[in-house]
Amino acid sequence: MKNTIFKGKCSRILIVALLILALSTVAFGKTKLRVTTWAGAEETALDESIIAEFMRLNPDYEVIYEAVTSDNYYQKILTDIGAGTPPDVILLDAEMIPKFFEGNFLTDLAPFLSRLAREGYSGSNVYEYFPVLIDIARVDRKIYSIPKDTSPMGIFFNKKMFDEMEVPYPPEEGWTIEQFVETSKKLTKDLDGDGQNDTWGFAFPSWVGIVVPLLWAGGGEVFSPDFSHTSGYLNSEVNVKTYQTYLDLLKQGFAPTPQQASALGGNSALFYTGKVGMILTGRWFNVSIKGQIKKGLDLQVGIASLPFVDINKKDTVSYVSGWSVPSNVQDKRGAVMLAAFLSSDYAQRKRCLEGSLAISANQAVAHLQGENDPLDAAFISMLDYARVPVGSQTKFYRPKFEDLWAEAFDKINVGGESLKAALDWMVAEMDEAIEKGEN
Amino acid sequence: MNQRNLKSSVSVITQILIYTLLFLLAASTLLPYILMISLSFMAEFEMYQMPPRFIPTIMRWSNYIEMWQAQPWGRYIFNTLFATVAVLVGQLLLVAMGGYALARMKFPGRDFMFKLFIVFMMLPGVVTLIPGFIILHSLGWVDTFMALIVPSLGNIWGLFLMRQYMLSLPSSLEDAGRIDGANRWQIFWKLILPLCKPVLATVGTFTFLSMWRSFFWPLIVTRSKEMRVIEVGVAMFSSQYITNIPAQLAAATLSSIPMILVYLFAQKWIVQGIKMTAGYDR
Repeated sequence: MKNTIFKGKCSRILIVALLILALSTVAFGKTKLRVTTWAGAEETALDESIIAEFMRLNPDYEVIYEAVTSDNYYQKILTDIGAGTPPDVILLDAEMIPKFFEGNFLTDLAPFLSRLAREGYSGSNVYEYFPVLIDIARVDRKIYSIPKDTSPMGIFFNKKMFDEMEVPYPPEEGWTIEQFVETSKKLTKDLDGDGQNDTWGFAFPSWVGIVVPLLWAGGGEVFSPDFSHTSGYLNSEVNVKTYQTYLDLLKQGFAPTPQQASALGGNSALFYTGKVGMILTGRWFNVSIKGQIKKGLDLQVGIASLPFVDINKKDTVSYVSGWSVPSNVQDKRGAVMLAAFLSSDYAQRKRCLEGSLAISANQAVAHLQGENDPLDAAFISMLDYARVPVGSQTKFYRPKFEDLWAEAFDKINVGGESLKAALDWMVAEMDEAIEKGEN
Repeated sequence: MNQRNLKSSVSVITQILIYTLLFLLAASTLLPYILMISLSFMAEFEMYQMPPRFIPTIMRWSNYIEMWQAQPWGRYIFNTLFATVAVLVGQLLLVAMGGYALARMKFPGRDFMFKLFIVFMMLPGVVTLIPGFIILHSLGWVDTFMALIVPSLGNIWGLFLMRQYMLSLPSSLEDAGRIDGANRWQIFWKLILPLCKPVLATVGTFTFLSMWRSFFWPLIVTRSKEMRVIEVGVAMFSSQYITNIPAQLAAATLSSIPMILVYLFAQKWIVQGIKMTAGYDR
């Protein structure tokens, strides 16, 4: 009898315990996903609203959002990956994909995306994105990143300065290197007659990220097609001729020297203060310009393409970052769902239409963006001919190629070496590094 | 008489030259800070005006409002303050006890242990970064106050300073305590520690400053905004291609205020700390 009562009590306790356990699973059983980005304070607010929407649509998931400063971003995520605690979704620069791919750190998103696309999950249909942006993260049939947004490289020009100096605007359909040279010369003036230039045509492009597309636009290449060497490409006659044109403009005083630019606050400062008429940079500069105009800067800006050797052979690059999933995450499907949603139509509208942070990677949203903003329309049109960054195709670009270029430019600018000699030196160093597999 | 006048004139000129030089040095040290405050009230395009302006034409207080609204600064200040105070208290206690043990107690391996500490002091922080992170993760401390506080409790430099200072105290003090019936703890707590106030203040001041300015470790071991500290918040105004310079300078100005206050109140201990490290003030 006692035994029966005891058994009854036990089973009641067991049922209650199971009920509590079941209820707690319902209440606390959300799967946690962690996403890491390099968003600054302003972008963070937009990202958080996108994540809130993801959690509303997917109540089984709780997302922890981690914004890390861009300078320490890769060190932070590599520490996490190295310690076996990777974030579920990470933001990657296209140039970092080869290195992460080689380290076997990334999940192939293609099978997950095709399944999610069949289910109609927002952001998972790769055909919604600009093809060039998907190509950037594609290795054979595998896709390692979903594009977040993009920034093609072009030229911002100061309309007011052009008007005051009666210089015609660059043609909308694109222009040649000769036209660029002529325009730069016309914009360079000694306004107070002290023998020193007070305005210059353009801010000199020494950053490797703009130099490579300039060389492409001049008809050259920097790597062989299989990325096995640079000799005969980077130091080719056509590249020497193209970049020498810009160096000659610099020597003749039509652009401030890098030292002068640095003393005057940098290239952006030169553009804001009307010291240079043109600046060669990415669409991201538009965010700064808009912010300054809002604060009272008297500036009217136009967009031009990079100067081409031949107007029928247009070239530029579009830099892109995208969402990737580390290979050792636990819930891959959940992580890919989150990555896709972070690039979904909702996210693209939030980030690119509302926040105007970059050009949307989604073709439909970018189209709307172009309708709202003529500057963005000019950049979007560049995506028709923009190429994928070299760094997304070979691990030898970052940091080897970037570092060697900086050193080669110093040899020219400070050491007084000829462009050809500096490029020959760089090619030798680069090819040796490729042969040894050193980066 | 003339010679005395000449000497006096030379002395005055020398003084003027010295003070001018000191003034210039002080001004050159202060100039970046003054410039930071001034620029924090300007729009970015105003910063690059030529000739440069030290006083903004329009005081853009909106930069401070924008900065404050962009991130949860109240939370950052609380986190920084809480972690700093916790580390300060814990570290002073630990270095004082450790210093006492290494200076006044005799036990096997004492000198070897001290040398080992010194060797560890030479290790660059990056070497222990991943192992430290793995330990914290296995303890479940990532993104908690424990991660901000516990690894910072050890301070070999402080331990070294305490040991050296305690070595300089006469051993007759302890003998007197023992004769009066005090045990080891009472001798440490009631006799030795009160005499170590100057060195405790020095270690405390440096600990406060280094905790307040710490950036990389908090960045690595925290994940959520709720656990971030001030310095990480300041850096967050810089993203990959764009930096909101005025907001960042406003945040840097805000973050520097406690450090300046600490310096004003504790400059004596800071100078003393530098002297002690140099090894001629014992």
